[in-house]
Amino acid sequence: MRIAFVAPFYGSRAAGGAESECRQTAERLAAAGVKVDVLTTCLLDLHHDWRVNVHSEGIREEKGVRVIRFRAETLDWRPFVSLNSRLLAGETLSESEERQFIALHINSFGLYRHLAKQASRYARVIFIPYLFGTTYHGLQLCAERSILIPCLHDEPYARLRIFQTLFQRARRILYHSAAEQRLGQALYGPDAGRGLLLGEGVQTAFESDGARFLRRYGVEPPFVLYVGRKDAAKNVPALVRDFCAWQRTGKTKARLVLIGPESVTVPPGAEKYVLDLGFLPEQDKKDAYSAAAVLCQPSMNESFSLALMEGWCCGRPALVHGRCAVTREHVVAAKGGLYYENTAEFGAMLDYLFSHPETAQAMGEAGRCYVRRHFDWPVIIRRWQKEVLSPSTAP
Amino acid sequence: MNEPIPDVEALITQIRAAVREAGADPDDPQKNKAADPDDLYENLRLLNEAHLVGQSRGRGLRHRFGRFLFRCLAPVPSEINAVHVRLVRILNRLVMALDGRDTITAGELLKRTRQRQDLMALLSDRLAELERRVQALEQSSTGPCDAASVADAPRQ
Repeated sequence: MRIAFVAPFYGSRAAGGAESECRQTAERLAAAGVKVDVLTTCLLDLHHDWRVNVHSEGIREEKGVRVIRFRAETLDWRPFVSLNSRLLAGETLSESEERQFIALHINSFGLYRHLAKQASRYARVIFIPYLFGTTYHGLQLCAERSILIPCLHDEPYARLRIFQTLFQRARRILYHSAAEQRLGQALYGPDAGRGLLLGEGVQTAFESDGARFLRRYGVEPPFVLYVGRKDAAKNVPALVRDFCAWQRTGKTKARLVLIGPESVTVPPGAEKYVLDLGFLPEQDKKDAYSAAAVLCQPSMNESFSLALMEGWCCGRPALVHGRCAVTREHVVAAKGGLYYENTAEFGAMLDYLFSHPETAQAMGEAGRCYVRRHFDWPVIIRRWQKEVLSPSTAP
Repeated sequence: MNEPIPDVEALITQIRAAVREAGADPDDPQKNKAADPDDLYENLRLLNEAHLVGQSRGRGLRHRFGRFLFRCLAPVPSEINAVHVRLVRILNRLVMALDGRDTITAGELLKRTRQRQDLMALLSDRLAELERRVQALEQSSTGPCDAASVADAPRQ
């Protein structure tokens, strides 16, 4: 059996949750004996200029996966900017404008020609994530064998009518969480027999040393950890504000350690307890989870949250935003932490976790068990083989 | 669910038509390229293409020697590249914010500008209020209040 993943970006240098999920799943399925092709563009990732084909075209073997790269169309994107701005400002686009929007998005005619010719050679063609020309147009060429991993958030793009067609055409839809599936059903109608709540794989067994992190970065415990992109979409400026307000109450002295790309403005005077360590090597990030007292995930736009899972793998309790259905449901199901909805609750929850270390530890352990039971890679790969790739589940 | 599969060339034609409808030229992506050497977008595109040192793809002796040299100096170019990658990411982000493509950053910038404007308006109101109070005091005072009389006033 040969399957294909279709993704706009692929490779170890491609940053992003969907990109990481696609690469990990492809490599692990290949290691489990499935023949895997990845059909992708020559673009680097979401944050690089979409008009620059960085990788060379052609076929390369990468960790057991056959990666076939096609040039992305280098179209003039100025009309795209105009449509995108209107969309994000809350304006409704006409149907024709929606088609223009996706036509001006990341597309590769070479990839589409390959799909049209070769799709019948693949038992399944898996498209990830929903918001790209490669997914929207590519899926139309092989809808009968298509699987969509949408990585859906509640955002203006999700309300475009063209995506209703996409979700209705996909033969299977793999969701990361129950909340994501509910959003998909609410936006695009019922998915009975097509929607599958599969989750996402997490590497649960890894070495991490909290003391090494404290030594290397000179961080004084205890600290609350945030791992991820530090921008407003992830609600990080609000996290910093809430943390500073909590520290001003003086009940518990702690620091906030931020790890990840981008940067956040730290209010004057708060530098002593907010440490932005920037982008760290993978091992140092894992060491940080072990050294932390609490892992905080303030984002309200998550379809899974790998950072939350990795924090639990190190036995750390979590504090998540209550207005993110995905992370809140994980926390409630795992009994792995608490959630907050405003500044006062944020401080109160942290006061509780710091003043009840045994309960906090038990929450962390419960989280660890939850991840191992549901999202450990061997569990996910078995589910892929049984529920997605077995002949009885053919679309 | 058994919809006819569209012909790929028909699909591509359809995409091109939508692109044309949006006002871009799908057949000539370079057509809109500005000749201006200071063109922000063109310079950013070139920077995205060439920000990594030691990544020459040429096959000539000069390129091969260059690649060999960079391999020998491995830690230095990788540190330089790390800085370059960050700079390019920040510039991409800033241009996206300027264009309104990155509404999150643009929103934050707008918010901060608005906060500054609000603060300035508040200060201006306070100054006007102080001015009014000084004028009212001057008008209500019984005698002259010039600099000389203030200077002569007994100090406590």
